[in-house]
Amino acid sequence: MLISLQVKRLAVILCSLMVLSLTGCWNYREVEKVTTVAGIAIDKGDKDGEIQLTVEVVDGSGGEDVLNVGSNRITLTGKTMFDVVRKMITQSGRRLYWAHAKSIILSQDIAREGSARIIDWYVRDTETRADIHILVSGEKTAEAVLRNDGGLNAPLSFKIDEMLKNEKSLSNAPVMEIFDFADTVNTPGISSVLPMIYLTEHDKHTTASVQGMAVFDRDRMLGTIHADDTKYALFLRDEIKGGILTLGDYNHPPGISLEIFKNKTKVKPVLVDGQIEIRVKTQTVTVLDEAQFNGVDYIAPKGREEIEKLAEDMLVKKMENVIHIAQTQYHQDIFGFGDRIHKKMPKLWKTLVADWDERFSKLKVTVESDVVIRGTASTKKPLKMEEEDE
Amino acid sequence: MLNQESLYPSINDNIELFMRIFPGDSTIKFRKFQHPLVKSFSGCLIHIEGMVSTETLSNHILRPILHFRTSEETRDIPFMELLMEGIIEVSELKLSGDLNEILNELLNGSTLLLLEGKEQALLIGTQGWQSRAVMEPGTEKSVIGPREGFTESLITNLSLIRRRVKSPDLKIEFMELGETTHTAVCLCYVESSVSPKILQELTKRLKRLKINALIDSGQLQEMIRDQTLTPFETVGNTERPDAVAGKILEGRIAVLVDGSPFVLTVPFLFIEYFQVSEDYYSNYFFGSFNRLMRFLGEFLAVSVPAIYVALVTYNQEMMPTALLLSIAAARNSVPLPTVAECFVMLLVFEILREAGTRIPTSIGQAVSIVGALVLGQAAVDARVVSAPMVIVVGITGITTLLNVKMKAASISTRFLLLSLSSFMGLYGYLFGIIGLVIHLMGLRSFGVPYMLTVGSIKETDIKDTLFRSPWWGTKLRTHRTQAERRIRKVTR
Repeated sequence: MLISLQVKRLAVILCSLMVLSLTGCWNYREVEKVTTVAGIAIDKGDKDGEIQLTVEVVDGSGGEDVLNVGSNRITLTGKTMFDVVRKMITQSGRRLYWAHAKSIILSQDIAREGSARIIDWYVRDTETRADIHILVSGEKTAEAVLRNDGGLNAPLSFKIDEMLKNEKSLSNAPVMEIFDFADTVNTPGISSVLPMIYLTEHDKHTTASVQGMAVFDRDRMLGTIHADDTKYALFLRDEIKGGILTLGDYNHPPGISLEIFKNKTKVKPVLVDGQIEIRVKTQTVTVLDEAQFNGVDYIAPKGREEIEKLAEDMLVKKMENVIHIAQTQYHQDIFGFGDRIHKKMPKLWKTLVADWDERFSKLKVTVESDVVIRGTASTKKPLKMEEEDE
Repeated sequence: MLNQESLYPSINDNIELFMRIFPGDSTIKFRKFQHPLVKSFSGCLIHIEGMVSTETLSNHILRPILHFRTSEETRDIPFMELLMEGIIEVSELKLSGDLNEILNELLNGSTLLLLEGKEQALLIGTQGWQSRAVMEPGTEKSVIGPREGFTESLITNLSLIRRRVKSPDLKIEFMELGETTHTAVCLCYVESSVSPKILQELTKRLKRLKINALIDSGQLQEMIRDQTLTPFETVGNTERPDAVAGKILEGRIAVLVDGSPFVLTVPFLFIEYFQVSEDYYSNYFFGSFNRLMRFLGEFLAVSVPAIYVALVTYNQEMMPTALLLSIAAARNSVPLPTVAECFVMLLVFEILREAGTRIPTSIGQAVSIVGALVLGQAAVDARVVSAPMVIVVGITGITTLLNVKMKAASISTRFLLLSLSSFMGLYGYLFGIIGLVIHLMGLRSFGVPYMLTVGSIKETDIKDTLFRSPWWGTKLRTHRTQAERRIRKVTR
């Protein structure tokens, strides 16, 4: 009896020891033994059928000063994405760690030939995360953008990430993460758009800047829309979270800036004589943040109404303009009107979906706008006026 | 030990008897006396030096005997009766012929008075030994609230409790434990609040004990607890009389052991680790905040190393990028893997702690110098350990000290969780936490579930748990307090 108890105990101890050691170390990796990828640029290779991949890596070898963490670029070509990715070990010596990558830049060549093939690995693989920003390079290659560090020591990809996060108070480019993009590629009622990234030159340094957007037919890029028009496309997509509306300029009154506080865009499909029509109504709450010219009465209700009217007219004009571009130039429903019809009138949508691109091009869209000026920031009078009073 | 069961009639024989019992013991003092007027009034006083008050002995026993004037009325009364009824000016007197009892009393600080021709001894209560004054308790300091702490003297300790609960409802039961040490043990409870079943169970467990020596209540604490393999205490201890008063008023039972300043309380629930006397005396927001800090501190004390190791070696994607890069930079060229580094540093911390506890105060500074400079700064500079690990160990060490009483449980739980997360990352850590919760939920202290009221959202049940609700919010004691009510309910 006693012996059997001891044997039992021994067995339990041995078993648990074995179980513990057999677990191995699932997914164990030391943090300093991996090379962290910050960003990726994808181009076509020189040889036929090859992809060229450039990754920006941060390996924390910059020393203890984290702010000065340097970044390196590795460029390699290969047959498939994963092929190149594994080959990278020959350059970095360590496996690449993808979970903290911030942005993917596609070259226009790749985007125009179809981006789904390229991002398939990224969306599919377990080591990567689908919440990474995706952009299209406005330069000749994507590598050119990523190779440029603008004289900064900080990794460029992190800077791009910051730029896109702050887009909400600028609104001149859409913000897309790779899973959003993968979603819209497969949704017939809305065409995909991606932000564009360019290089701009400032006192001998070139820096990357995000502005404007690329328009896609499914996964193929068709062309770009300028940054100024992009803002109004975002109004139509109901993606405005902030930004500025300007009326006039430095030389032309009224020289007013309205900061957007809140915007709600309502898209309503209606049937008029059996024909589908879209009615768009934007409601924008703003604050008057700048008034360069005297004589603009923005305190009295009447003067304020005038400014609101000006802003509304401007908004309607610009939105109609960008709808016109989408309808005539690209024939792509980048505003998601089709998706809206799908939700509101699912039966009707079934009859429309087959040739939606054509129907969209001829679609009648009426745009209405309502701008409210809620306040005048902290200063009531323009500075100049006070000077004249004295 | 003794084949003798009673005293001899002759004084000299008796003195010899005691010399035989305590050979060579010069602290046994014999004082023979002879009344100057009455020849038959002769005897001997026996006491142990240091155990009795010499002032009482000489002024209130010896002097009245020698100055006693006989008169007509007293001539026929036996001397022993005279002594007991009038001469001796000490309140506690007892006549006994049982040698065992006599010896016990002698060892307990009584003085024996033997008379020529008598086989009985008069036991005079002259206890008076040096004991520590009532001081602020060293282990449970508080800013607000009483500063008194228990001492090593049982009688003083009882008086400290009685002064706080002045009610005939307060019952005190004595018993003696330890076959050699004859240590006095005392149960203390409020009769109207106590659960009779728990009292019965406690008495049963104490009676069942067969031990040779009982030196401190710590021994008892382990011997009377429910026999489960766990690092968590199911019998509480405290050095604060106000805490004991509060606990017995809630229906708990206090166990006092002579010679120990730590008083045990049963049943002990998990939540009591976090309830500190001061919570009840300070502003309720502040009290609740401090209690929350203690909960948070305990969580950090067991979890920080495990979570750090899991994040750094398995779940890097859960960290902010900046943190990942800074840890990677700091860990560059550190020789040990994170897990080993963590174990080593925690062990070093435990060694420092243990050294700091035992070290004589005069060289205590050396420990902090070695700890802070050598192991902290220099090790990081020399890249033997990484800076984040020093922070992790530092946080762990400090937060453990938030609940000093829980130290043992914290340390073992911490190492368990750390090993689990070093095998399986956050997944393993969560496994450990689930196991810990199951373990705690299964524990019982004298039949009362250890995690009583945890999981309840009834107002009356949670008034004094995570937060301390204000006193005016708790209705005056028209009905029983929640702990008392709940304990009664589960032991009914």
